[in-house]
Amino acid sequence: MSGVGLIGLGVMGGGMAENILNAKIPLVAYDIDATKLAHFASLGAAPATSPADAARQVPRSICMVETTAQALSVITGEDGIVAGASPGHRVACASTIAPQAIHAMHATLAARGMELIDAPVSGGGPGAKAGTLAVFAGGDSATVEAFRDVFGAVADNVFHLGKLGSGMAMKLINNMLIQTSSVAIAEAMIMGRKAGIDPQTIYDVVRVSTGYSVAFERRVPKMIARDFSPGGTLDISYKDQELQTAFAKELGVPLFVANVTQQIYQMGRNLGLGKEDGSALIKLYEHLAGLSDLAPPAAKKTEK
Amino acid sequence: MKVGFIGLGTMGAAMAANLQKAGHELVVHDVRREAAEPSLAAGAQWAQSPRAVAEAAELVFTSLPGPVEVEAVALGDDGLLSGMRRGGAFFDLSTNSPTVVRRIHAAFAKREVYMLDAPVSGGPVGAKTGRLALWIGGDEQIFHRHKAVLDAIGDKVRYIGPIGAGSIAKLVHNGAGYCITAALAEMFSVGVKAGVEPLALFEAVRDGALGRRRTFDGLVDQFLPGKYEPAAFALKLAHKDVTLATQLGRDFGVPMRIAELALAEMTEAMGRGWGNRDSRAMMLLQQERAGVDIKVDQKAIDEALKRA
Repeated sequence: MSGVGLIGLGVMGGGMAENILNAKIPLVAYDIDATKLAHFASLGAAPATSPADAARQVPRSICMVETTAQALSVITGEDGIVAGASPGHRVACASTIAPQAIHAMHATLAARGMELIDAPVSGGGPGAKAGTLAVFAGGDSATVEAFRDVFGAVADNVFHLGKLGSGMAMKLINNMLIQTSSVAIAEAMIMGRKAGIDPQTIYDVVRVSTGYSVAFERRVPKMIARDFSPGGTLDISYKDQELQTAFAKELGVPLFVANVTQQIYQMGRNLGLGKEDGSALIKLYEHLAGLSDLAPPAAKKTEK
Repeated sequence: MKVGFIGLGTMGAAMAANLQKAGHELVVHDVRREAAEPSLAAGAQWAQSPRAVAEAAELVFTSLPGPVEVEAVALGDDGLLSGMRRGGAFFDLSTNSPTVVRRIHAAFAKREVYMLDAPVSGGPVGAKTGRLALWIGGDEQIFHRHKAVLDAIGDKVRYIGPIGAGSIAKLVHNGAGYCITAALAEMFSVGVKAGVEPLALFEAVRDGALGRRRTFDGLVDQFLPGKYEPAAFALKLAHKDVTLATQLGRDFGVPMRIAELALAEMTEAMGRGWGNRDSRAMMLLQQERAGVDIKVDQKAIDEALKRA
């Protein structure tokens, strides 16, 4: 069995690394955070000194970093995968990044006889840890096949959606649904509370009614428990919505809902909720509905 | 001829005073008698109820907070309808719902009394100085019959159309005004956060294409005549500009909900292949959704401008 390089050992990459190791696939890992790297070395991963160094040791690499800029640096940057890999090397970009960047990087790699597919994942931190992610792959079929064993170790569902970029498009579609839904859910919950219905009752009723959804199940119990520890933060939702709305602009599709919900995430970030879970949208709406006061200190000062 | 006046709040008291200054004899009523004191001091007669006002006057005005109050005064117990004579006229100066206005109108018409909606625009200062617009909907002959009295209240008295038309004009005016206010708050907040002094920004934009004209003047060139070619400013350029404006919001962390919706609208218009048409072509999309087709004869527009 050929080994795989994994760049990025955060919440998502870390969970994936554990499951790759559990599946006995030889793993060469890299992260800019030496502590994380040491942790996975202790679990059996071979630590690399850079993405290039990792790519030198294996025929295939996965990139699992946070932003488009980071992915560009990891894959096609100076010390990136492309600098160490040999012709024939295959790269799966598992980060959720701009579809345009996928095409640009593919061109760079293709010029050196390397392949790149987009393979963003869905399922969040818990899914990564449990190995129950969904992989949305786009691009060269042979390369998707070449990652079958790795995808099988980290995911329950692997979808090959078609041409390069289609995995990323699929990811943006899915995220757009949960992110716009989360805003709608916060609105509905606050309306219910103002109408005098207990949030737990709203949850119990909606759970067996037509308003139910995965987004509802993810957000509402956390809202009720006032548990805003991050699964997906408002900052990440804002960034994701930026990718969605930018992609739609490129496609010439008017998005009336997603463009506004993105701005609502921005409103939450400005009230200091950026690092909290999407369920903290309820705090934003409590503020908007006059049930609490989250106004930043500067704004409060001028009130009096 | 005595003129009835019900509702002597900030707006009503000032309008009543102007009627008195013009020599009209008033019969007044308000739920708070104290509110009527200035009118009474200036010679008005007090009436115990709207009905008593109606019985004493041939022409009645109301200036009330909203639909609920107008409906009660017009149709309630001891209301206007129970006291007005056949052929009398009732002008409602309140900002009211056109639907409620039409309902009241219908009830009055059954008794052969005229009801017209006549909302005003100009605020408390305008009510005082008489720099006030009155937008009248209803029977046009009755409007002309009482035009001289209306002229004592405001300097811009205009017949708009059938019953409810005045209220519709008022809602369009105020609705547009506050949409623009919300948009200005958004754009100025991002401009200031991005580093421009508020006053410098104000002075700058006031000299711009938009700043140099009155709010509604821009409708004359494309929207009213329905003429979007040739482009005065191409949609594709405007689309680029609003894209840059919303990027400013991203760069400085300012939420821009209104601009994003406007941009989505423009994106939809671009999708129609209208990039080279005038940017105002985006206004056609909303006409489609509403099922209206706005295309005013150019000559009629020119004449309206001459009248203004």
